[in-house]
Amino acid sequence: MTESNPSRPVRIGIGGPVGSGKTMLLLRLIEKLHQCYSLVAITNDIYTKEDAQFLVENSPLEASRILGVETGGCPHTAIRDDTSMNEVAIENLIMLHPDTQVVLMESGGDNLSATFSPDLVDAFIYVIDVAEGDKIPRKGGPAIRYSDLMLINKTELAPYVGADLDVMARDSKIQREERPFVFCDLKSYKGLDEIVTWLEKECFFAIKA
Amino acid sequence: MDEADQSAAWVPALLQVSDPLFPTGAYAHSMGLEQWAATCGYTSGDDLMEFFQQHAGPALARLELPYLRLVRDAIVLEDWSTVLELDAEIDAWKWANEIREASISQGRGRLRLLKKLWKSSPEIEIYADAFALGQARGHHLVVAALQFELLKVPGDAALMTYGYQSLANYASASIKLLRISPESAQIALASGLEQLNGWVAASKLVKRESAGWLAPAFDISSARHATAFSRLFIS
Amino acid sequence: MSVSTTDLPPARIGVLGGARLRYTHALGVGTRLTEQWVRPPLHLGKSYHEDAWEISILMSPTAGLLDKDLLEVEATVAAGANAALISPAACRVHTMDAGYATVRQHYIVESRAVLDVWPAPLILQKDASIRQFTRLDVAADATVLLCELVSPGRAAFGEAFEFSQWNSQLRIYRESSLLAYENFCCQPKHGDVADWRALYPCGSYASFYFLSPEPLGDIIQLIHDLETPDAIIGASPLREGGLGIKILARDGISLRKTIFLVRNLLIIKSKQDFPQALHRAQTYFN
Repeated sequence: MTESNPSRPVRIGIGGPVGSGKTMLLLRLIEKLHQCYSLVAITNDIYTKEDAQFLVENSPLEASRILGVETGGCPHTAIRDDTSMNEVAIENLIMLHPDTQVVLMESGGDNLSATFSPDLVDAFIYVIDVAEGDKIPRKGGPAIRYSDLMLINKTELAPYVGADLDVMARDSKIQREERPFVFCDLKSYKGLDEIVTWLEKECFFAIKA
Repeated sequence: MDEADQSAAWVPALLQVSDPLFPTGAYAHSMGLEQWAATCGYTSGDDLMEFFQQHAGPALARLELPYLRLVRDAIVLEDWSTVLELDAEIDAWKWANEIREASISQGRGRLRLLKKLWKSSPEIEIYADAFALGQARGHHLVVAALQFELLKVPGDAALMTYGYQSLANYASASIKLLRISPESAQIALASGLEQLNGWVAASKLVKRESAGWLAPAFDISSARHATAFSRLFIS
Repeated sequence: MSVSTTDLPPARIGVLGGARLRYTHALGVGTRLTEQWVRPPLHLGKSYHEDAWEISILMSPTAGLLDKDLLEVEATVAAGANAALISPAACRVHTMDAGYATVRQHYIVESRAVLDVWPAPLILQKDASIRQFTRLDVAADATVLLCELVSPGRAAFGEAFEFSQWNSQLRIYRESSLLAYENFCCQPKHGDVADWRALYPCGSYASFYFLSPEPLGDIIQLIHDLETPDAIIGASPLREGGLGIKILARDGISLRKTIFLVRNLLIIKSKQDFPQALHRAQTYFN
């Protein structure tokens, strides 16, 4: 995790494969945090601004605090190699809402090697889900290994897709060593409190101070 | 270091700012090629060469490069009101909204980074301040002209570099859009670059009042990209 | 054999036609053409009044435009007035040995005013050369439909893209700020407009600008949905307050049909009542 810079809002990146629950995490975090912090949310989508539209329709955040960035066919480039579009999006939102304390940024769904540039975000949450197969943590890769927090989502589905959570926990510990991971089912709010506790302790301390 | 070495001192910095790694968001834009390739049924490197010959090259020669030269001339004279006037003119002739916004997005991206790289440049500050105040549009052509002037890149080399970047961006997008091999894209790019000298030479004869280019079918296609059912690029 | 200068035909003197018009709104009366100055060969037909509108029929020289001819039109639509300028016949730009004809137009549309410019096509005949300059100054709360139609030759003779040169410059200012700028020199013999010719070898072209204080909503999609194999259409928002529309059609009839459909959408979007008398426009199609 990069050091927090108190002169700018805390930026949290949310990455993960397509359909793992990134937008659901964003929605749940907004629901939980919007009354305590001044939030803005940015969604990266490959072809559309559908995720941003989903948040506008379903989250309690006012529409002017949500911005969809269309990244074209390279979602990983927009968060790692050439972050200029996202930097401009953050500038635009902060210009509109100078009181912003937290920027939540969801990447477009991508493969296991996508990571955020440390210049773009202060902390990076990586979301995978049990339906992708319980072998996913074992496959490793920079996001599974080095994200600041990893979520294993949709645990309620594990019995139906034959995913062994013990295997996933074992492999996650091997890959991530001391780095934290959380089992969750964000649709039913399971694990959300643990995620928020981690965010407040590890990322939002400068805001509290 | 002898005189000859010093005369090329601008080369490393020019290579840096012209590199595809330089983060301006260009990778996400096809600048009209996506819809046009679908309309024309492009599938090969030869199609890309035809696109360079019939559209990209003439558009550079008659519109983009003359404006690049005009903006740079105004910067040299520190004539900022003309720079802003040309910026507004560029904004007004970029007819398709997505291409206009792509140009601004890349201009802003480049300006942001140049501000960090060249902190002591008053020219960058003046233009960035004008942009912050809403007096400048932030078009990529204008920021590129600023960059070439600050690096003291000779005029022809600046025009060539800008032309190369435009053609290379199309070539890069073509690998996804036309599904041609990287080798085919490079062969097409080489063919375009062979003609670049002529397009640059032609651009230098174009005065401000005659700078312009009519390509109605391409414009229509670029506008339709905004409502296309599926797409890989933002423009 | 030497030819003395006295043997040569005398150089042609161009005609200088023009019109300066001002439309004003008066309470209880509607819009009236309160100032007019017209110089032949341009001819202003009798105006029609319909509800709050004044519809003027502006006729180009019957013979068309020749080398050195100059037409200048300036129309001001004062605050709250509603005016339409239509023409009943195409304007031909004739074959020229050398030189060019010039058309200058300047439209000024003040606050809450409405202007509809719906001319007949400009026909660019073999070896014709023309320079057009159009300027539109529009208030932010005014409504404008500005249309230009171009045929690249006399279709009935199979003539297409044989004209010599078509220069056009269009500037649209909204509240004094440059909003749209077109500038080009088109010479088919040098390979210009290859994209147009490849698509429709004898096709016609229309360029529209729609300025309105009303939100655009889904108009772009609706306009794009009008595309057919006989006419392609692109619409794109201007930086603010309106959109530009370009149409390329297989032939003049397809162009007229498409323009009619596009205009209907724009008229609904403008939330203005447009007059029935516009049926007299040469390109009206139903």
